[in-house]
Amino acid sequence: MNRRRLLVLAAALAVLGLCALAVTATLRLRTDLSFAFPDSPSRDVQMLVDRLQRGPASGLILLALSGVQPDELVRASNQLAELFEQSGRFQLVANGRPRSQNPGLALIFENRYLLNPPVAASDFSAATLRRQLEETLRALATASGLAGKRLLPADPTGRSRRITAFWTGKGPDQGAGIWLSADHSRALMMVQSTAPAFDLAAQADVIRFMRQTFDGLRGDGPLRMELAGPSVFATATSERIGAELKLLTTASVAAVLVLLFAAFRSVTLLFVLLLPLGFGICAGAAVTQLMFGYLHGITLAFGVTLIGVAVDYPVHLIGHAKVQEKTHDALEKIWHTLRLGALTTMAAFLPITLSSFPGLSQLGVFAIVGLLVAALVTRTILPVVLVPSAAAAPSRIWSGVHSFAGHMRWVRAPLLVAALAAAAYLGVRHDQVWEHDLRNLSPTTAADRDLDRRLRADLGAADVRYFLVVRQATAEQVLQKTEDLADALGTLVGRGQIAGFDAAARYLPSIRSQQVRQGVLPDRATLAAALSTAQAGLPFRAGLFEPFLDAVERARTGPPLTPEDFLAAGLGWRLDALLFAQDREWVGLIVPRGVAQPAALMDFVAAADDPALSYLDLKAASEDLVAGYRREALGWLVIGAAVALAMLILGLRSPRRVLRVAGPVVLSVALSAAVLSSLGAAFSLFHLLSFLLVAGVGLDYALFFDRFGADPESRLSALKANTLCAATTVTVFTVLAFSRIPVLHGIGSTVALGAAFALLSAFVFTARGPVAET
Amino acid sequence: MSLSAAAAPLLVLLLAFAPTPGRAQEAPWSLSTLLAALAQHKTVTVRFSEERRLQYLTESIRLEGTLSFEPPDRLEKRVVRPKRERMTVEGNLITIETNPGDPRVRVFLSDYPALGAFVTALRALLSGDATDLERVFQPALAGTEESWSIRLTPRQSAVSDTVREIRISGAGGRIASIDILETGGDRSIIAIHEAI
Repeated sequence: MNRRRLLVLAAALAVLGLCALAVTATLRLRTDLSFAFPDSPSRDVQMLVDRLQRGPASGLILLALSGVQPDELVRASNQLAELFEQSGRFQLVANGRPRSQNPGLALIFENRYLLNPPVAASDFSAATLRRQLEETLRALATASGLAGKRLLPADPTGRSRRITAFWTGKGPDQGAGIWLSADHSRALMMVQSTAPAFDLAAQADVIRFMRQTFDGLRGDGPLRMELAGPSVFATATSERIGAELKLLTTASVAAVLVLLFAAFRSVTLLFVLLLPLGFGICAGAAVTQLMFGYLHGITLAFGVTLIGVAVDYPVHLIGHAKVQEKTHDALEKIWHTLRLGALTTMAAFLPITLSSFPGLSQLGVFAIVGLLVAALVTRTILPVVLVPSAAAAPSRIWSGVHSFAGHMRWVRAPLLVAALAAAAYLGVRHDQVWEHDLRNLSPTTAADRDLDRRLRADLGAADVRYFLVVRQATAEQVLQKTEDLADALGTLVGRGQIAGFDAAARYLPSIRSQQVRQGVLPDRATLAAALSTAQAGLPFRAGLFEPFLDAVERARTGPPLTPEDFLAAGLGWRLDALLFAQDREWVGLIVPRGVAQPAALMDFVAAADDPALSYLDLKAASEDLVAGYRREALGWLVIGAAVALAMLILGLRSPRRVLRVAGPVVLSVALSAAVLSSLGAAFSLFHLLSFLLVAGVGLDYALFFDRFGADPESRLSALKANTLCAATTVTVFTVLAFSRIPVLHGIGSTVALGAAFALLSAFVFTARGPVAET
Repeated sequence: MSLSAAAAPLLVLLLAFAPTPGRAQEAPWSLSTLLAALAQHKTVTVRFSEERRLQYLTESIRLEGTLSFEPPDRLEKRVVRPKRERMTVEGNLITIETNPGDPRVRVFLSDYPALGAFVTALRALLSGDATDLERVFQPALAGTEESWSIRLTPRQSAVSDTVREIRISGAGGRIASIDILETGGDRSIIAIHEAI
């Protein structure tokens, strides 16, 4: 008999192992933020989120050196920049130092007559040329003029210098020849690796390389390096989450094992406990994957947490089995209660499956399937593999706990008052309890975000919030539309409503305007005549400016520049963040700087009345998104609660009992919410889901107390089982509450607190009858 | 790098600060005695005139101004004619200023190998360190103590790509002229006048 039991257990574990392997092998896990976004957010929001997540713009790494004197900073910055450049791992290394070997410079120089600022026909008149040649002659008597000597024959009018100035604009302080922060305590650098930004492994590798290079440079000195940027944070976050999860999981599993072993004194039992949960997770993951084609990482993590309640099933079973009783009989005894608990929880999850947020509906499916399978495993396999043991029976300690708990009925009134106060508190503050900032949901730490903000401010690249979005079928049309808007935007600048704006067309004019410029350029003969008039009497050698004549002729007759040319010349980084393809469309971002009146931008877009142009306030949009998500989740949860209540009414068939079971659940959720909120927690979707879990475990506690509370002996069993269940839950989630990742911390503290309240209120309100004196 | 030509006057400057020769006379006259005679430890300013012969032009350009040196390594060239300009080299940083209101141009000496070599050599000259000078150039001394000339031929290709040679002539511990010949045929001839 005993052997058969072990064989079945071994077989079940083997099957579980195979299932787990199969599910893991076929799992398509998505770990991006898309969990938090609906199927169809506005295209603009989706585009930005997408860009922020993995667009080339997010491959930009900001670097700050500090800890030594400015002279040392300059030297270190230059050395580091050189080492980075030599490594060939970067498409951009910029520390403010002008570099002659910039590969894009050749392209800019070659196309200088087509780029911005636009050329005019008068630029090539004899009079203008004369003035410029005289200026050039004077410049040859200076050091700076002489420095540009090489370019003189091809560019006697200094056109390339004007373009460079136009591109560079106003950067951070360059007082020491490189970028320093205003107080000269930090040297700044921007780099972008050649690896794609969404390839986290490659980015992590680049960041490791940067740190190693820096360590080699620093030696034992006081020099410090800080890195910021989306890819840096993403890498750090995934490393931190990985490390924390490992640590927290190990710690909580160990704690739970110790707890359960102390309670049951059986190693076999620990394996038995695994079965319902394990099969539940496998089934949940498999079905969700089948239905959606993929699984969100957060669904998996949270789903496992939600159906973690399945560990309680065997605990209840063991707790209620008497020593001489067959497990099957014990199961028959508790099955009705267990089933009702599972069905009610599943009912609560049912509406969520209809959510428009794929992450939420996945979670609903996962939880329902997982709980169903866990309950079925408890029903079918556990009675075969489990045998009641003496250790499982309530010991004297438990009698002591029971008798102590029995004296706690006086807590009823204060608990009720506290719950009412909590409900009132939450009711009054209902506007302030929610989390509004999307970024607080991201696992990036506040310190990282601070660093990012500081470095951006140092570099004069303040965090952008407002965008005008241009959508067209082709990149060329985007550039044209941007150019059409430029004049009107200029009037906003004139009125001081914005300080200026950046757009792809600034760096790459549309083919249309390049062609206009080609039309303006004089043909070779005309230019040669004007030049010869201009040159008369000046000491320039005859034929010196042939390269100039050739260059203008090439510009006039050659093919216009395209985004592909920019990419090929290593200038892609300049355009990528401002002009990109999305869903068979081209998107151009116009990024206003120094926005004094956001309303002016909104009015501007409204007045344009163009479906291809939209306004986007990233902060407002993301807040809307968060609020919308939460509203929807809250709506489904309320419906879910109603369905669950209906299920309870159906199962218990007594209004009194329904109140006795549901009351403590509501009470514990209200109490824990009020306590957390008063401690400063801002509720997000993850808190809502945590409350759902609290309600789920609390419901089981209450159901068991309701069913077994009348008889002293079985009440003792129910107390032991419920307390063990609550202890494991509180242990696991207390460990989680120690996480420095905001979301994990939130979930941990919510569930740990909630489960404790749930046990307390279930015992105090649901267990009936006089307490047995032992 | 053509900036090297522009910096040539700095070389002049460094070599021009001429304390009268004295103690060196007892030793046989050589590069090291010349360097010792040229070594400079105080702030000095001299007037210069420069003739630039550029391949681009049919006439040469004439510049006038002052050169200053401030120990240990600050060099300044101030051009007053035909166009005002002030260039200073301090450490590794070159600052060029045209009009007082205009933004300054700042570049690194190390980005301009030829100019960097000059300055390294000049600092070596000033400190009387022949080793450093000979690291960058192959010096050839000719003439007598009363009328000498040094020919500096660059050793490193980064320098010799631009500069063919530099000829410095003088009398005793005083530099009279510096002649810089570039590989492209451009040439700068700098005459040093009295100290002010």
